[in-house]
Amino acid sequence: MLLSLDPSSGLPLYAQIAAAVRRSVADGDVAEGDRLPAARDLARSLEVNMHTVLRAYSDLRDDGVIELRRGRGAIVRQGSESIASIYSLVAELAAEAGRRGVSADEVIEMLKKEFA
Amino acid sequence: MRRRLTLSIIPAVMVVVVLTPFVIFWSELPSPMAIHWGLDGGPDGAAPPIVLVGVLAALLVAISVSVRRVVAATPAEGPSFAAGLFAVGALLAGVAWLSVVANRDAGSWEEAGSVTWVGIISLLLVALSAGAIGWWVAGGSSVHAEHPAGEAPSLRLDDPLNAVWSGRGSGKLVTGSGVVAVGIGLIAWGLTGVFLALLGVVLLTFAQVRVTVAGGGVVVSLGWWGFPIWRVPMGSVTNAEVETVRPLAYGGWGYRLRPGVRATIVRGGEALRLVRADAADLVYTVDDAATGAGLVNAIVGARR
Repeated sequence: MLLSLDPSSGLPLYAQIAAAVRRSVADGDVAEGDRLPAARDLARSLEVNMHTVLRAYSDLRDDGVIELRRGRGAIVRQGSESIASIYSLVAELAAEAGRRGVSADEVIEMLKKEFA
Repeated sequence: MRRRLTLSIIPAVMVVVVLTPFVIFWSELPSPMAIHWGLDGGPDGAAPPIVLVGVLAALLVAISVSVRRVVAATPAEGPSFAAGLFAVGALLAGVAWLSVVANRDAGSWEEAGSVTWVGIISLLLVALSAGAIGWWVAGGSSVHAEHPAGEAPSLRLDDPLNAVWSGRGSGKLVTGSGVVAVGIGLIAWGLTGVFLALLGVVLLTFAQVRVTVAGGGVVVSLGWWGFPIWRVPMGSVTNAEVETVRPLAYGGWGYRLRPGVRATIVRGGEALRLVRADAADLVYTVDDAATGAGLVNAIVGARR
């Protein structure tokens, strides 16, 4: 499995890792049921603390992208592709809104109207 | 010529040397004859001579068959293989001669002579010498294992230094053997059980290998539990290739040392080879090795 980090995004490293996984899942590069790299292996290869990777993985679990199981590692969940692709669109929307000076509350109002 | 020699002549010589004592002294052997000796050197197990001949013959056939398979897998396989073959042949021949001489002229198997530690140690020394002769005959350490130039893919990435690849490989054969060994080890008593359980843990360590590639280096870990784990600095790697591994060509599964290469083999098939200028190459049997090799080559290119 190939992940690309984006240091130019200015996000903290754990968020870059989570974003890279979301992007790969959304693009279909990582399939449902695939196993993410073991946290310790990934941390050592990126030369970061293992807790940075574990924080990214627990964020992904909270968003429903992966399942974390003791001994089995991090597995990409069923249906995570749609969640991850929506998440990527939302991230894009938030970034665009920030650039154009539209506040979060305004964007949320717009979204609510869209769903009404 | 060497191939022919290995395939037919050496096994034939082994058959002759192992079976000769039975042919010469057949009429002087008791039936059953002593086939096993206790720690005090006295005989404590017996079987008809024909059974011992059968077991030795079966071992010789098994060795000849595996010789053929190994030589077919690795035509260039050299000294270490010949050394092992000579040593096993000498060991079998020694067992045959020691047993026959001890049983010769005995009225029954209980009266068979002792097999002493001196006899056993001489047997091992003879086997080691035969191994050394085999090594020397086959050309000694002057033979180098040349590996055919593998496929060396490269990935086109905007920023290879910020990409991560992770792959793993697992082997059914090693996993199965490990589970069986641990299982029998847990129900078997005493030292045998402990030994089998430990052997099983070692086997399960080599049931899976994970390789993670990133800008700083390549991290390798073994087993489901990911230990031991080590890191190969990217600075020591000149490039990466994809290789198709035949475990027999590396002398089996597990951690294999060959001239110029250290391989971690959990299964046959696709593998990632890290070529290093100042140290031995490293080979890991992982799936999707092409992507991993591609990322290593892209990173090495970007670092230059």
